[in-house]
Order: sequence, then structure tokens, then C-alpha cells
Amino acid sequence: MKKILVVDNNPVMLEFMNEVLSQEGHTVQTIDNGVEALEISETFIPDVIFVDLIMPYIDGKQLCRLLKRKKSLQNSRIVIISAIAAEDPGFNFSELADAYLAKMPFRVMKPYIINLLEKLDEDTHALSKEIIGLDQIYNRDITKELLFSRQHLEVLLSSITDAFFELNQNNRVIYVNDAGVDFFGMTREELLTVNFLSLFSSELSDKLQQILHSIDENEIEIGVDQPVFENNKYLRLRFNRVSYKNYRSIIVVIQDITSQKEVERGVKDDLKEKELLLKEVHHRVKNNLNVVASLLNLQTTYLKDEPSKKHLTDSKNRVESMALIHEQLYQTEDLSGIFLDSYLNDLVAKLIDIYNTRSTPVKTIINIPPLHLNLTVAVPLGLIINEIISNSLEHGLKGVENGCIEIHIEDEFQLCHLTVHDNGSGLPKNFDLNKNESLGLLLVSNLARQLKGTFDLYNDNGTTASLKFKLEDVEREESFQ
Amino acid sequence: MDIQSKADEIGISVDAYKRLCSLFINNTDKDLDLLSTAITSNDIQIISDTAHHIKGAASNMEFETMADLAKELQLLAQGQKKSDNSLLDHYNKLLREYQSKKTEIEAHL
Repeated sequence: MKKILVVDNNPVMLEFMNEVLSQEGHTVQTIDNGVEALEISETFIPDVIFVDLIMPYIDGKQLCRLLKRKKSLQNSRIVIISAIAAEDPGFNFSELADAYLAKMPFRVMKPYIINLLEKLDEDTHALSKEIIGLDQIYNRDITKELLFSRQHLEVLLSSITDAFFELNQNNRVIYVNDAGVDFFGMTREELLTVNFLSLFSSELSDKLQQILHSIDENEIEIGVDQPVFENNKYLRLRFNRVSYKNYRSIIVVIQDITSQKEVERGVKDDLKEKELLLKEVHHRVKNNLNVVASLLNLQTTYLKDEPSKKHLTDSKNRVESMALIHEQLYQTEDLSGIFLDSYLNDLVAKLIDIYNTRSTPVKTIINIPPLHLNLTVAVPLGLIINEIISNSLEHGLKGVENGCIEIHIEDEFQLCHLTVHDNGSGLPKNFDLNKNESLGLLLVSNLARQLKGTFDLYNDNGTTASLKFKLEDVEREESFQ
Repeated sequence: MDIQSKADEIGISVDAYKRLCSLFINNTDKDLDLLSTAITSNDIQIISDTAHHIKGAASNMEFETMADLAKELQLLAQGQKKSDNSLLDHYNKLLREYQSKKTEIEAHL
């Protein structure tokens, strides 16, 4: 009498096999899935194992391979018992099992089973060549579709480059794709039924255990913000719970993002290097502009006539206002532009220092929103403000005690309105901006046009300069260029 | 339905045959409930798998009309066969056949 294990997910089939085999005096164990079959075969060493091919968790083919690898089962005979025979009568099962019995109506099945068990003792070589009972099976053409669909999914999963695992409720591996096999450098048979957590370091294993324990219908992903580092690899892991009919399992997808992380690190290093270079360039531009300003200053000392001295001083101030922008650029972390308030504070202080010839210093009120400007806007705007304030200090506030300059910027929907007001003597009578020939105001008009803006100068208890421009117009023009 | 001769044909006891029948009813009840829900939610994969399962079990028991109806439902769900009737019509047909078979079986259990 034999010890027989039957593995099939159909309870009616299990009961039938149990009844028929027990009746013949055999000791029978029935199991409805491959994972438990492997577990039970540790203690129950069967003489014959009947295995169905289509089963949940580990399918029949894989189960046959795993059973064949077990040393304790070296003398056990494996018999496939499946309806697939109808679709593939030429199916070569000799590497998987010692015999193949087609599923058929119960009425005719018993003699086949008894006959097969007898033959297994005699000549397994002959049995492994053809499927037994093919003539009795019910036409099952639909199974072919299921098989095709299964093979199709298998091909799809094998072509995925991410490691794909399916775990049962006890965290045991019940499916692994080719990438998963490569990932751990183990064979498929070694990975199947192994506890998934045992494949990782204890630290990561604890973390994974918590996730697997708490996972609900929502996907959990780790390694997105903070990559998981394991065995010199950066990993991203996704977990999904599968619920289908009464079937429950967990899908784990492991993505090796090491090369992606290395590229990312390379890009960051490159960026840092380029930022350093750019800062160095701004530093040198600022130094060169200051050299030009110093040369102009030096040249001034050689001049005798005041108008020529004034022209050179004006030019020197213009160069210095540009140098100031580059100074601010390399002193801040952000190289894409400067903050206008900080720049204006420095510019106004510098100009007041240059033109400070009076006992009471000119008071300044600067009221501007926190505007961050790129070079395309900052340079012309800086030069415009330089000209207006220089004019106020040199002409408007000349001889005025308690002089005051107020700078306002209103920024609404990217429309900037700059006003610079002084409480000085105002514009000369019959002043006409369009007919004025001073270099300073000519520069302001041209720079305002460069900013796609409009400039005006008028009396208003002193002098008010007004500049309106749209930030987005200038930025759009810059990106177009 | 002659339980005794069915058991004899298979080569098992009447009690064992009754146990097979009970298991068959128990499983098919669950499968038909699942089918009904799947048809309402139009879940083709579950319709197809469950109909396949019913067909296999009915074939083993040689309830061939039921097996044929389950097969037809599976073919329809997979789009391999056209019909003027809906999946629900086919399901109802299968259900009626099963209920009649179930009544017949239960009379002998």
C-alpha cells in the first residue's frame, strides 16, 4: 500500500481521489495548493504525488520542478492530473513527472487511477511517453484560451525589467519573474516558497514586515524620496494587495534605481561645478568693471575742465551700478537673478556717498515689494535708477536742506510701476523730455524702450520720474532670443 | 437520478458519492453567487474564470447540460461567440439548470 499526496484546487476532485485511493487501502493526504504541498512533504514522504496543473499560488509545473528537487522525495513518483491534456496531447511532461493522467468524468476515472498506480511500480519509462486517458476526456476547448492567456501573461511578466514577486499570506514567494531571479542571483526553485523577508538585511526586513502586515487596498511605495540602500544598490519598492475571488496575495515590485541615482548625482555635481564657474565669471566681470571705473576715476584727476570731469564721473557711476549687480549675483546662492530691494539699498547708498557734499545727508525712503529680477531686467533698470537718482542728487536737490528721495515700486499682475520722487526744486521751466539732449535722459529713454516700458518725468512738489513696464514682456522676449 | 447506480459506476460508496454531491453543490452555489456579482459589474475575467470552473466540475460529475451552458457563458464572456441574448440571460439559463439538478441531487442526500 502506498502513501499518496494529491494536490488540486478543486475540492470535489480532492474528495473523489481521497475516496478512491483510500478504498484501495492507500494512505492519502489532500492539499489544495502548492505552497502547503511543499510544507507537508517535509514530514509526509509520499510514494506517489498527484499534481493538478492549473492552481493558484504556485502552478503545477513549478510545483513538479520543486518536488523533483527535494532529496527526501527522490523515490516519490509524480503524476500530473489535469484537463490540459485535451488541448495539448503532445505536451512533453517527461521532465516534470513520471506520468500524466487526463482528468475525465469520475464514472470512468477509477480504473485508470488503479491501473496507473500498478504500472508506476513496473515501468515508469513507458508511462512518461504518453498521456493516459486522452480518449475519455470531455471536449474542453475553452481551457486552451485560459492557457494562452496564462502564457501570454507569463511572457509579459518575463519581459519586465523590474523584479516582480507575488507573496502568499505568510510572505512566502509564490511567483517570481525572470528579473526577480536575476535580482537575487538565485534560481527560481530556490526563491519559490522562501520567506520574502529573509532575502533582505534585518533592518530592511523589519521595515518590510511592518508594510506587509499593514498593507490594505492602497499601494505603498518606499524609496521615492529616500531611496532604500541594500547590497550596494538603490532600490524603490512598491507593494499592492491582490484580492480576486477568494484569492489573496501581495505583489511586490522592486526597481533597481542605482544607475538612475548615479546619473542624478553626476548631474548635481555638474550643476554645482557650473554654478561655481558662473559665480567666478560674475566675480571677474565685477572686478573688470571696477577696473574700468577706477581707470575713469584716474583719468578724471588728469582733467582740468569741470564739464569733462563730470562726464567721466557720470560714466564711472554707470559702470559701478552695473558692477554692483554682478557683485550681488556672485554673493547670493541664486545665480538666476538679484533681489531688487537689496540692490537698490546698496546702489542708493553708494550714490549718496558720492554726491554727499552737504551737512545734512539726503534722506531715502525705499518702498518696494520683494522682486527677484534676472539680468535682462536688472541691468537696464539699475542704470535707469542710477541716472534718475544721480540727477536728483546733482540737480534737483542742489542747495536743498532736508532733501529726500522716495523710491516706490508697485507690482500688480506683472505690471511694474517705478516712481522716484525728490523734494527738490523741480524741473526747469519749459522742460520737454522729448527735446532734452542730455546723455543721461537719452539713456533712460532708450533703456525704458528696452524694457518695453514707458518713461515720464514731471513736477510734483519736486520732481517725479515714472517708469511703467511689464515684467513678463521682458522675460518672454528674453526666452525668445 | 439513481444514487446507488451512480456510486457503483464510479466505484465508490453511496455515502462517498453523496459527499461529492454536497461538495459540488456547496462550491457551485458559491461560484454562481460570484458569477451573478461579476455579471452585474461586468467583470469579464471573473465571469470567464468562474464559468470555466463550473464547467470543469459539472463535467467530472457528468452533468453535461450544465457543463454545456457554463461553456457557452464562458465563450460569450470571452467574445468568442455571439448571441442575441445577454450574459444575464445565459446566466439565468445556467442557474435554472443547476437549480433543477440541485433539487434532484438534494432529494437523495
